[in-house]
Amino acid sequence: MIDNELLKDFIYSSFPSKRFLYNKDGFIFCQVKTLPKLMAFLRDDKRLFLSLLDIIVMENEKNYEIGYLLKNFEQNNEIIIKIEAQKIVPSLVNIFPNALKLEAEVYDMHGIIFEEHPDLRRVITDTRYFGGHPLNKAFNIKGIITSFYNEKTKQIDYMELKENDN
Amino acid sequence: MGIRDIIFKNSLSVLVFGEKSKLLQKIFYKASEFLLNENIKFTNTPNHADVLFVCGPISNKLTPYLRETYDKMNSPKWVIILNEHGINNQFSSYCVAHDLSKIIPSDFKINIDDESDLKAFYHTFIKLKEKISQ
Repeated sequence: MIDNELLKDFIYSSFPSKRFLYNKDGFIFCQVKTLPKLMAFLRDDKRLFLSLLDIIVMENEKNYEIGYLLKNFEQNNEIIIKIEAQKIVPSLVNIFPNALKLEAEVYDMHGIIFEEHPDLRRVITDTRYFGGHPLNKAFNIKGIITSFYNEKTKQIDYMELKENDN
Repeated sequence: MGIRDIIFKNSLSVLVFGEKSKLLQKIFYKASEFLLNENIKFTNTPNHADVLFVCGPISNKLTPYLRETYDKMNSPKWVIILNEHGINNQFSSYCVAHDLSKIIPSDFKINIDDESDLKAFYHTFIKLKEKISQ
């Protein structure tokens, strides 16, 4: 991990009016509105040069905890920046282009909507018809629907399962 | 029994469709002598295939392509479905097709949990040859 004290100085010097929270695991908690500015700063600063590796989501009772895993490839350092948000979050596609697919996957699995994302659609699950988002806690794992071949239209359609089928 | 049936009975070409390649590799390695004796060969194109060997579980996203490969095969054609609900019939989930016989007409459904016991595998091919000769 990058030295937290050093990073604290970097961030305070560039965002003097904002507040950030630190904990001992190395996570930096940031507010949702300041996230794009902070990310742009972390990417452009010559001492950091961070790039986005992954987006991690945890579902709490009231909100979502979203972590952005950043890495410096020269020094081999990693850092996680976290936000606590409801279902709508600003998109980072303008800052990190690889967020295009990462955010689409997060939308597919958790149903979080990224504002101003150019291509927000399902990646992994069935693109024709699929109800819900599988990693949510309220999702029914056993499944409600299954596919079958329709002789009249000559296409694959969906039908609801009976209770005994599971 | 015409001459066409004799040709089909004595040499089958099989197309494999499915995801569970690890169990399949073990099965075909173990059963290689049987397959050579019975003149069963494998193809990669649906045009040349007589038998479609489906290895489950198949997800809902994959079912249009399963139907497409079945439609491209020349008739007469037969279908064998292996492990439709996974090993030990335990796998049923939100993304899996629950009944594959509603997507393609199937002749045999078999379950093989382990590559050490291949009785069901031999039995279906012998039954299939009986079905062709009738």
